[in-house]
Amino acid sequence: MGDTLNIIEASNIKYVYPDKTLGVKNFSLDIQEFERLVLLGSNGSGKSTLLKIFAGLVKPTSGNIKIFEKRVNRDNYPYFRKNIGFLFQNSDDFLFNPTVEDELLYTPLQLGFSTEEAKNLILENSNYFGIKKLYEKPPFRLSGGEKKRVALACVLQLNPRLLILDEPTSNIDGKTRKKIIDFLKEYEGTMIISTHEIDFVKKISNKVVLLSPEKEILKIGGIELLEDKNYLEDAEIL
Amino acid sequence: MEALIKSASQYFEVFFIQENVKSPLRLVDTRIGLMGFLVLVMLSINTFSPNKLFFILFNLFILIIASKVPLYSYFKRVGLMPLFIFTIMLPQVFLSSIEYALLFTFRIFLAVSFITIFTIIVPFKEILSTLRFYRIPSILILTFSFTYSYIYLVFNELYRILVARECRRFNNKGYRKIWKEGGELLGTYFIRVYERGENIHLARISRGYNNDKYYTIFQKFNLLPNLIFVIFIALTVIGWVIL
Repeated sequence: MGDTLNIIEASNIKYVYPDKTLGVKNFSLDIQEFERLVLLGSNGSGKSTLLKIFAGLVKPTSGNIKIFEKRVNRDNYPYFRKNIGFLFQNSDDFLFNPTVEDELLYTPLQLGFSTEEAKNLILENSNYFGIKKLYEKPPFRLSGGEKKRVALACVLQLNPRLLILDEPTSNIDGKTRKKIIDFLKEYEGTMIISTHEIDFVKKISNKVVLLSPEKEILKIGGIELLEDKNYLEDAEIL
Repeated sequence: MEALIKSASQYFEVFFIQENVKSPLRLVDTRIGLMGFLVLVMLSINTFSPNKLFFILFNLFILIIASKVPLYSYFKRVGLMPLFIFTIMLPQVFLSSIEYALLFTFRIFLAVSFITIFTIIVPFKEILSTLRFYRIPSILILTFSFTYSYIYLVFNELYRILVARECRRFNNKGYRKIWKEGGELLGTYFIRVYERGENIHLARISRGYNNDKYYTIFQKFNLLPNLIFVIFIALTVIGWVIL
C-alpha cells in the first residue's frame, strides 16, 4: 500500500440475488483516493449492484471488499455513512420523507447534529441547487429534475469523501444536467459513477471501467478507452 | 372493476397528504389542536343519540367554514366514506336495525371527518412532533411515520401497474381471463411493492438511518386563536352533555 488511501479494495467479488440471478462476478478493483471512476456498461451489466456493494449496503456473496481500508461490518457502519454519499438511480426510492426540508435534514439529524446545526448545513446546498422554494413540498410531487436536485443535495449534506452516483443524469432536463455536471467537475473527493452515456463520462472522469453484458470487467483504462469502438461494441454500449 | 381500483388507488395515494391550506386554524398550537380534535372524535363515537350526532355535524360545518378548508379537498377525501362504512355495516341491518347501521355510519363519518380536516391543515412532521411531545412510545410514532411513507408507495405502485396494463390492452377479454390476469397482476404488485420497499430501506440505511429522529417544530404560540379554539371545544362538549 502506498501513500494514497485505498478507498475501495475489491477482490474477486461475486453477487448472486436471492432468486439466483447473477448480479456481478469476478470483480477485482482498487480505487484510490481522488480518483474519478466511471462504471460504463449496458443495462443489466451489474453497475447498480456494484455501487451498492461499494457503499457497504449489500454484502457480496463471495469475495472480499474493504472500504476506506476497513471491513464492512456494523462497527464501521457510522463511519461509512458519514463518509459515503450514495445517490440512487430512482429518486422515488431515495426520497421518503414528508417534505423536501425533512429530506434535507434527515441525514444530519440521524448522525446526531442539532436542529440548528442541521438547518445551517442544508442551506448552502439548497441555494446551490435552487431548491429552497421547494422546502414545504412533498418530494413525490416534484418533477423528475427537481427530485434529482433534491436527492443530490441530500447526498452532499456532509461533504462525503466518497461520492457514489447511480446514473445521475438519467431522466432529467438539460438545465439540471448542466448543473450536475458543473458540480461534479468542481467536486474534489473520490467519485464513482455508473452510466451508459459516453459524452457525460468524457466531461467528468479520469478512469473508466467497462463492464461486459456477462457482468464482468471487460477493460479498465483512461478516457481514451472511449475512443475504442471495438470495446464499446463488446460492452453493448454502441 | 379495474377502473374502480385505479380510481381507488389514486384516491388513497393522496389520502394523508397535507394540502398546504392557509387556514386560520394553523394559528392554533398543534398540541392544543390535536387534543381538541381528539375530543371531537371522542364525542362523535361515544353516542348513538341522533340529536347529539346532528349537533356534532353542525359543529363540523362551523369548523370547516372557520378553517377555510376547500370543500373539494374535504369531500374528495370523505365523500366515499359513508358508502364504504355502510357496506361494512350492511349485515347489521338484518342483525340489529337499519337505524343502528345508519347511526353507526354517521358517527364514524363524523370522526373520520375531524381527522381528515386535521390532516389537511397540519403538516405531517408537526403531527409527529406533537405525538413525541405527548410521549407516545417512539416505536408507535416510527410505525406511524413508516406507514405514511409507504402508503403512497403502495398505492402509487398499484396505479402504475394498472395504467401500464391499460395502455397495452387492445381488446376486451372474457371475465375468466380477466380474473386470471388479475391474480397474476396481484402477485406482481406484491413483489414490486416489496422490492421498492426494500430499495427505500436501503436508501434509509445509506443516509444514516438511526431510529428516525425528527426535529420538533411548532408555530409560535399565539394566545387569542388558541383561546377561541378551546372555547369552541368547551361549548361543543357542554352542548353534547346537555342534549
